[in-house]
Amino acid sequence: MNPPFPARAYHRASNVVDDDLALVARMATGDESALAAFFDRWHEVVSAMVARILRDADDADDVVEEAFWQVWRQAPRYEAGRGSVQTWLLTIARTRALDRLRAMRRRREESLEDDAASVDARAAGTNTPTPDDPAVGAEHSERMALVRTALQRLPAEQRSALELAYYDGLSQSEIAEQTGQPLGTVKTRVRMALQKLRQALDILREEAR
Amino acid sequence: MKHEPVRHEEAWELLAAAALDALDPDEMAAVMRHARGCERCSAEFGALREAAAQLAFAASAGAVPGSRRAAMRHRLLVHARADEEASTGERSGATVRSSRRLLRSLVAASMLLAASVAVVAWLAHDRARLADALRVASERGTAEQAVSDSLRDAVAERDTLIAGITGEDMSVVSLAANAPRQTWALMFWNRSTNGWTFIAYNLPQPAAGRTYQLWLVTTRGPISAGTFAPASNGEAIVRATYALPRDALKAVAVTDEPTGGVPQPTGPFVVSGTGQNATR
Repeated sequence: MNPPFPARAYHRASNVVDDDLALVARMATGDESALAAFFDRWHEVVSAMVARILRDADDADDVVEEAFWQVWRQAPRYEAGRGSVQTWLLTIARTRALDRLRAMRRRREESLEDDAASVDARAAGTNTPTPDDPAVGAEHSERMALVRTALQRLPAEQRSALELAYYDGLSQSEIAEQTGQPLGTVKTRVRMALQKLRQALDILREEAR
Repeated sequence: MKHEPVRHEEAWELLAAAALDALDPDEMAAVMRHARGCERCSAEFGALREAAAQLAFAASAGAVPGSRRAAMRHRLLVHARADEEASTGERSGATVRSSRRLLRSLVAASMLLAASVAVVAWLAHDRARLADALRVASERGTAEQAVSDSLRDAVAERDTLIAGITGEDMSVVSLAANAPRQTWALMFWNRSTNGWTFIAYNLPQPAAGRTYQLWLVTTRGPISAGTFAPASNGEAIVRATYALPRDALKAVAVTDEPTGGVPQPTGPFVVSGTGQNATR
């Protein structure tokens, strides 16, 4: 039997969203304390995601810092209608991490260095660090459990395709090449996986109302 | 291969991959072109993008050590403060010409340039303070000629420093400490003059019998840019001239070495930064 979804995350989500919007609005006016608060709220989630992508602590720190800096500089141009603050932040961080990952791959290919050399022991960890603010930490912990549960419910091949696309930054063509699966099969898996993930999250959001 | 415009059904099928950035570039461009003109696809893409972003929550990693997190937070806030001050200076009109030149470029510049502006602003402020002291000393007459000469030299030194880090063809490398201490430094490389200006803050004093040595780490190996000791307040400024091909710089580093320096680095890194992070 599948584990139940922790639905309480969505009770807190609206407050978190409002707080994020307020912090971005303050950053847009040059309020440094808003950047500090925003960093405290999101640093752990962003760091975990970037570390998972890069598997290198020093590079991960650089990327995380660059991502928050980009948020600070672009806060005046943030448009709520184009997506939530968290999606905006996480997309910025992931894009930067994947850019760094691709640059690292190019360097590795050029120098023929051992790929394992850059693997950091942190990547093997399973801890889930949380922000200093208990409310934000609780919301993030529940969201982590929620998304992990949703991922566990996916068929293994769909989950693998999703993770190769999200964390490794591979295109569908590259996934097909790496896994030896037909491109059409990969396309179907990617589409089904993300749609199922979205549906699971939508259902939980409805249940929480 | 250039993709033709996609039909609605075709774009709809590819939106999930687009939300994950998992399409090949031409395909992505074609889908996005369609979505911009299709309200239904645009809304679906937004919803899938929100779902994809949730995958960040599934990542596991060990806790980032508090010292590293604090250092990162500190650097961000220092840069943000410099950024904000520079923007304010831009609006109200900066008083130092060389600072103003760099401040203008800051509006669209990177984090390193923001930090550079803070350094320029600090030097400009220090220069103004010295110039005021020089004026007062000069007004008191020849009895304080030695003081006047000293202050005049100090003002000239500041002018040289400001000129050395505000040229048209500058590259800046940010250096940070591995230790928890809030040490940071910038290396300014004036590619036109081959001049290097290293400015550091909050450096601890080296132990007895030890010194700091500055290195330009190039594709052919490390090149010593000299030894130095910080002032009592932890600040240090080192200037050097060395011609280097534009793409040869891999990193800038400071190591802790025996007094007198060494031909090749042997001691631990005090601060370091990669040429990859250099900005122009």
